[in-house]
Amino acid sequence: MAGNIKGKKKEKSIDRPDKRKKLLYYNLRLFIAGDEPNSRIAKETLENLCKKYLYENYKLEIIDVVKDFKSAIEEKIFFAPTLIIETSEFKSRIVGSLIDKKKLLDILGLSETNSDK
Amino acid sequence: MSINNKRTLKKTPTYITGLDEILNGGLPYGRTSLVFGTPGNGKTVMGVEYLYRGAINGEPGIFLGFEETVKTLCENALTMGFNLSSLMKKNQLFLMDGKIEPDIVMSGKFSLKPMLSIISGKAKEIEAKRLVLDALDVVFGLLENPVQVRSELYHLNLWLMKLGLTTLITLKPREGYPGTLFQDYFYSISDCVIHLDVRQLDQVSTRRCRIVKYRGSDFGRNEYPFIITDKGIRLIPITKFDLRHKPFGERISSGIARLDDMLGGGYQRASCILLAGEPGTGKTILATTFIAQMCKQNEKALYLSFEESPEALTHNTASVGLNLEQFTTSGNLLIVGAMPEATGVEEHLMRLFDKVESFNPQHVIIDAISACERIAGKEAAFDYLMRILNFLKEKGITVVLTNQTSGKKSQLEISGNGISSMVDTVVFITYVHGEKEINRTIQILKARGSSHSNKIKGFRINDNGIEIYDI
Repeated sequence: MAGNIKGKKKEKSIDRPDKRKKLLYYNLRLFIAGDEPNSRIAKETLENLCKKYLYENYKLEIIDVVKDFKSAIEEKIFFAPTLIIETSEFKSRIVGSLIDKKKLLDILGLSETNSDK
Repeated sequence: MSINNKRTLKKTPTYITGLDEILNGGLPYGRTSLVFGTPGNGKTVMGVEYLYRGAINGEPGIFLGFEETVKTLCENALTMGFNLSSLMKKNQLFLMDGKIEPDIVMSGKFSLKPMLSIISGKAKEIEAKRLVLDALDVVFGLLENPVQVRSELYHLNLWLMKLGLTTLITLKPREGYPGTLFQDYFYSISDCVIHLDVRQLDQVSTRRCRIVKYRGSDFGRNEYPFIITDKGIRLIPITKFDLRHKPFGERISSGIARLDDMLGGGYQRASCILLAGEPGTGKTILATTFIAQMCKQNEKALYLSFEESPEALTHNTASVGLNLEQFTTSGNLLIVGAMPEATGVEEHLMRLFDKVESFNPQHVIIDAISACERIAGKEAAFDYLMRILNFLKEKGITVVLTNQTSGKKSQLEISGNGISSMVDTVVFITYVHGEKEINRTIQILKARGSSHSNKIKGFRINDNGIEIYDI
């Protein structure tokens, strides 16, 4: 997934979320399937990203659908891994091993804050 | 497996009218079957009906659909009388939709493990025996490449085999794959493949169903027309595995003593009688005289009229002293008027079948089979009649057909629409031109399994009905 066409914008500026904007609180739920490679990759990627960008402003819950199929029914999860992001402003879901970090940041609303506004 | 060790495959009946017959009993038990077709061909209906009928017959089922919401699914099913939500409340059905939202973000590889977890978890919970995965192409279309499709399908199949559910997958063709590669993957994991399609013929659209493959089982190899009625899918095989016609019964009176004599004692119950003749010779009167006789004996008759409305028929026959109204009032007679052009062959068939099932007559009159050609041409008319006659003969119902012949070729046309092999008795009425008058004559041209008169007799209709006299 080569999505980094807008690579001209330097990533380092994302490091600090825009102070002018009120930082959202993120409710994150990652649905994984046991120790499947894709699930493992997604879990690691997400955990690292949370520490790096979201500081204390998030709650991450990892749900293993192999053990808990009822949660999968509740949220209509058919694919693993699936990440559900909930904030006071939006709800979104991403399917896949989260290999595209930029896409993920976009969805979290963090990449826009890096601009020269 | 050695030849001596021959076993028949265990089947799961679909309980869908006619489908189990061509599947030779049903779907392969505990295995995966595929219903394939383009949008609007009735795949989902087939899946829903399979589960519904299973559930009301004591086999709980699971439905995972990827195109429709559970709400619309339930609403649509209700138009066919399938109350899915009540079965869900009783835990005999579990319905779930996984409509893929257009704004879903894909990022990297994934597996279908949660879907499988849901299926096996729920299967245990409600002791499911049946599973439908509706529009699975939507799910597999999200996978990045054929290799992934094949690998996920492989896992899915293994999982399903382990669960032992009798599974029905519905699938649309998918673009972006070379040739039929996409469906080929699904074919290979399916033990039974059913094709559905809709075709336009003479401005009438017909749904067709065909079994493409069935591992380890015999099946009906033809294309079978089907329709979706307010009671679900109905399919009528033209050619079944065997003829199961009932033998003829006892003699029953035609309502005219002298005709009974000519026939060697009357018509035979459960036989097929053709009354042929030129226009105006009195075929309809002959048929209704028979009906009146049967109704008098408190038997039931269904009259399918392609030529006259029920009111016109009642009125016209009253002029020769036949009071049909008393029989329609008493519930012995049901007259159904139908315009041949109104609908297609299947619709006509189903209407008749439904009427026969609900009214349960001992005798059926079709007046006239010559009008059947107006439904959709010669071939369709033959198709239609063959299936009606097959159906009625299996039920042991006496059938009276009238057929209008014209002019000189009448001898050739008598049996009409090529159905002569199905006809047991032929009564022929014709005009004889005298010097100053035209007279009618009647004769028996064929009477299967019976001796009959070879004489030609005079035939007259007066205020008191039909009169047959020596000439």
